[in-house]
Amino acid sequence: MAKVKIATDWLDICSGCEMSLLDIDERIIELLKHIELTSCPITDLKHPPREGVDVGILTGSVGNTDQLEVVKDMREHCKILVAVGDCATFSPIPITALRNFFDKEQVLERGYIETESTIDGKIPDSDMLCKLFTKTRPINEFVKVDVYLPGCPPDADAIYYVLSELVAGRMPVLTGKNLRYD
Amino acid sequence: MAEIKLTINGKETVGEKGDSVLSICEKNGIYVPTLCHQKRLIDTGACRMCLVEIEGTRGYRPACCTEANEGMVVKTDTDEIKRLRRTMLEFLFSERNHFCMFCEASGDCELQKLAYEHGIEHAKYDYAQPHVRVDSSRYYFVFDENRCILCMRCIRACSEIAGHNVLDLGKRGAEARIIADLNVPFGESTCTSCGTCLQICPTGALVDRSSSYLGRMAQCDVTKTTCSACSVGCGIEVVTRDNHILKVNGDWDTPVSKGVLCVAGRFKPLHIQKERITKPMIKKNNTFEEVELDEALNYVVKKFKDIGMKDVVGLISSTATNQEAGAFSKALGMDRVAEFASQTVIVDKDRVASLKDMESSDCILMYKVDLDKESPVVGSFVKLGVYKRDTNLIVVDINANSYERHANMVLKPGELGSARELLERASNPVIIYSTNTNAHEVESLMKLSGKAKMMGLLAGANSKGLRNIGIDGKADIQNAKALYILANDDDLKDKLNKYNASFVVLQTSYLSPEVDNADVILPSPIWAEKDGSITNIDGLVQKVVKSINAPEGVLSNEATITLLSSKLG
Repeated sequence: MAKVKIATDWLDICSGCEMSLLDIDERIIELLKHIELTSCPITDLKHPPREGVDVGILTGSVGNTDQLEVVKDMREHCKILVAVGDCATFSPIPITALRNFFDKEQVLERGYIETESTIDGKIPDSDMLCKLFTKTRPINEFVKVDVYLPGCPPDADAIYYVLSELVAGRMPVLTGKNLRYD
Repeated sequence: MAEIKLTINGKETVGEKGDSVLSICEKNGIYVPTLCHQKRLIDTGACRMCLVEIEGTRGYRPACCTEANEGMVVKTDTDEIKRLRRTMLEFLFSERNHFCMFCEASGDCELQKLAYEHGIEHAKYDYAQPHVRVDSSRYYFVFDENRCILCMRCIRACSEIAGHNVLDLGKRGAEARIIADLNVPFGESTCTSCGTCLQICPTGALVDRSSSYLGRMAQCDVTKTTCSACSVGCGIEVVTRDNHILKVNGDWDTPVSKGVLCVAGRFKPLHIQKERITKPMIKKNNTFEEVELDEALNYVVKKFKDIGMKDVVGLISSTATNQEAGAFSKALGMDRVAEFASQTVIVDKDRVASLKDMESSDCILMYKVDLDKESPVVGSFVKLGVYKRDTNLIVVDINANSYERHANMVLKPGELGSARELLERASNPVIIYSTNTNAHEVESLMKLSGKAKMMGLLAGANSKGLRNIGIDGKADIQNAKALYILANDDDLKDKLNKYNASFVVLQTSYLSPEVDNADVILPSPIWAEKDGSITNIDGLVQKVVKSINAPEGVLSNEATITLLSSKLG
């Protein structure tokens, strides 16, 4: 059986979901026998291969133009798109979207000028740089998402369930203790 | 009641005429999700979670507010109904800031439970993300508007169950908010912190300070017992985890108060900061020295015998159980035991008002009592009367009284005569007085109206039980040479400095400056650490059930007293 090709990337996120993935422990070895991880934020190849993958996994919410490109690129190059974590499914939630309670200008000022360690700070303004959205948003507001896995972070068992169902060629349906928001 | 037959989801079901569709579903084990419904409240159909399809009617109907009729054909779980319910939940989530990962109620939240049930795994609608307030101006619990779904259970509980009528809905539409009085901070409002709203809230909008983040209900044990804060004897459920009390809830099914509690029963016992006494102590050279129980008891026995048992008087806390009182009076002799509190003047049996009389009274006179301070649950009964049954309330007091604003007539004690007409016109008048009212005052109150029943608020939870046993306050306390005080976990402030005895044994739970008045201190369990029974103001004997274990070395009061008794011989 050919290995299932998976690409993953992160957006506005604390990386807690990735930590939770590691909590599936030794089961990851069994999974890797059936999975080919083509790209992820910590491999040399950052983007899904141009010929496409079977499963694309995104964590985090969409907060700027660069992240929107990542989302669109992933959607175009994967058959099944999985949104993992409360940021990706329910955003705004406070971890990445605390800023949604403030104006964009307030947020930029707080980040680049008012931070205690900053001296003579300045809000970057260049066409080379991505632009911050007024609010950070869940992935499904921009592209179609096929599988949602909420949780902050999702339980390791829930992540394992979703991955093993996808490897087996089934669409996961979250019920019982796999469906959690906290 | 006439029986009616309905078809629900194709199944024949039976109910009674007057039942709602929801209650017939519940009786027949058919699950219908609810959110704003609560068994003690009048249904309003606010949340639309219980929508059902009824053949022959237009649209969908809230099952809680729809009266069942003979021959109705009801469907509760079609795909369309499930879709509607799911959409209602999605609206609720988009309206305020529901962050489960930080929320105290996560795991026990009814909104979250329904969202899981309906398989909601992503946000469908844009969030309103309103900037709303978190009101922590009340000491015992916090109101976090972010989690509020405006089901109005709190408002209804405040008026229908507790009678306080503090909460209401301010503004309308998307601006609607739960407010206290005329939109003042909760801590500055007329709220008495009875906590009924806290207990009834389905989400994390109301958060208890003592139990927050200490565990979910599934991880806790619940013990049904009786409150020992006052003589009403409300049924309580003590929620514990690993031998710690997390919170106290009112028992909705208790006959006495039907779930209402007050600040003294629900919150105060959980916020005591004093240090526990776990070892007996003997005062030597003006300092207390910890000793073994045996040594302490031998010392007490020697002192008592030197003084002579006839000059030893026992004082017993009004919160002592019937079993403690039994052991205590047996050890010292009934005629040498008195209640450790001022006594309420008791009137003839046929003039005594019961709590039932309070519930049906059409005219209440409060004589020099502020119920918010002395017995807030009786206060709830009074307010329910005033606002639900148009009961006339007469407040007689020297000082300002918080019930003046509920009263038809406010009098000074000297103007008592003016109350006669209202009392005479009533068919079931009740006069409330307290331990501060002397026999002369009670007599003139009784003369005011021949048919008025008298409710004398008692000093403590088991004052009635102590009297029933025979502890009637005739023991000569002032001339006693030695005192044995079974103080339990009572607050001892200003209670120990008025005696002339040369030797004082104090059996108490907490260290306080007042224990310096004692010569020997014996440890005592607190209210939650004992089994037994107490007798409420109506004479109803109710069980007290242990919900946590006493610290190591603290025996039950009966055991300590029995040991001492056997040494006295």
